[in-house]
Amino acid sequence: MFVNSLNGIIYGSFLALTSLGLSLVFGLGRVVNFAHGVLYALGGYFFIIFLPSLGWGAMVFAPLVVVPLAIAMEWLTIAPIRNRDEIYTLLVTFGLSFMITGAIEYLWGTETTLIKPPVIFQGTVDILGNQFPVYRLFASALSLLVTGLVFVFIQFTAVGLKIRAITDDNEMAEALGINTRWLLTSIFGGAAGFAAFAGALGAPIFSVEPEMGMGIIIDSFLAVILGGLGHLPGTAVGAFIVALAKSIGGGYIAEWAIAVLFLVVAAIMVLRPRGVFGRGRIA
Amino acid sequence: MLKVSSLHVHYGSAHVLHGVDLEVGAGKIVCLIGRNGAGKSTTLKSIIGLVSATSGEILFEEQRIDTMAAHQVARMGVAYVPEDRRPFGSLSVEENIRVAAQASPHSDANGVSEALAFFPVLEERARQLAGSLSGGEQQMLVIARALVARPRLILLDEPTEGLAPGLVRSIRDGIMKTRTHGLSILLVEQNLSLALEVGDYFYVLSRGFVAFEGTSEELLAREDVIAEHLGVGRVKEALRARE
Repeated sequence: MFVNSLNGIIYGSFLALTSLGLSLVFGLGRVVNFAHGVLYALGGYFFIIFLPSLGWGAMVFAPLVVVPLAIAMEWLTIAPIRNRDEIYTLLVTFGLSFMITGAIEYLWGTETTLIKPPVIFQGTVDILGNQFPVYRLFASALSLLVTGLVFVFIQFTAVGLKIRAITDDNEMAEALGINTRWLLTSIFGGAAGFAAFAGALGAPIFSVEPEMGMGIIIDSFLAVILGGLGHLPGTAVGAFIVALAKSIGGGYIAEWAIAVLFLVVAAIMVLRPRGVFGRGRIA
Repeated sequence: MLKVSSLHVHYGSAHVLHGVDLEVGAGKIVCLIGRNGAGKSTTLKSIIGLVSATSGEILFEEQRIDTMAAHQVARMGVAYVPEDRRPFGSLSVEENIRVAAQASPHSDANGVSEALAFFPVLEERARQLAGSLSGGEQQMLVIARALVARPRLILLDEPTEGLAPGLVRSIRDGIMKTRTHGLSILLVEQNLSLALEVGDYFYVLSRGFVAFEGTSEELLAREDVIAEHLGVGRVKEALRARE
């Protein structure tokens, strides 16, 4: 139970980082970005590609490569259909995610790569009689720190204030002189960067394989929905609910982990249709 | 300062504006009146750039703005206060004003506190979420949010709609106060007596074109125009205003 919970918290801190970006992109531009998961996967792949030459600097470098790719993707495929229904961007990004997954398999093969954590983070620590890998704790703390920094940025900076205004009313923000088009693209790029960073940071824990994006995107969507659409603190809490439901449920009845997860999510949505804080949008 | 010439706007296949011509001079309050669906709000939205014109020309201080994005028009010094107010509900009152100040190239360090002081109730409510304000307070907030950008023209869409008489007076006083700042206002107003009280010049819009234009005296002399384009009930209101 304890080990499962701790693993849940570790997975939750990664999920918080990926679902935060998903929630931001949805909240600002009403874009349901199904391709967010493959950006996470690309982060993992670029990380293992750059690792031999750059060492652990690859963890910073991989997101830096993914960001311009994501911005190009936004410009070419999402921006032209931004004013249409959400279903259009969902379909386009759904297609894109399969195309990119296919490209990954074509370029880098279908096998799973697990890399060792850096030497200083190898080994385990004793937590209440359980041996726990140091790297897991470090990676979890780092992704929580980054998530926290994103919150601080949004809550306390001028750009963050603009982001919150756009989330409330995109058109009105534009009419006040905010270049929403530019901000939406930047946020898309930023969110992609955080997803890619999570993919790289998680590589020594969750391994790197072509389908890794598909798993995380479903969990991230669940977190966003649980948090209340577009509500960022709710999304972070949602991420931990999803991760804990999955790891604790899976710990007892492994083959039922997904069923337990969806049951928990469905139950919460029945009780709190506007998310855990009751502040998000319904649609 | 603002010149709209033969403005046509379509919403899908619906032809909403059929060649609207109007002008707003510097420091003037110009009223756009007419029945619901006459195209008043659409005219304002196409000036700020939220609705794109099918044809025609909009000039602001001799520059064409009909081809610009809304944020560019706003930065040139045009502010827009929509009919449904639209404060940023999850931001505080102060944040609503601050974000507008930061988005404007003309605002300065004192802008936010001056805008909050424009309607004293906003100062009291500065830390409250805008979504929790009453309708009248929200209206004051969005007017202050427009003013903080130090615009030279404000597009004001039905600022007194649904407000209690006391609040209508506050809004009216606010509009009159902006006069001293040398601002121009293009005001859409259903409340004819208020419009007659503050307006310098009037355009009556009907089914997407300008059916009448003139000063308040000229408008009041035309009971037929008022009855036909504003409604028979408005004639009495106009007659009262004339006395």
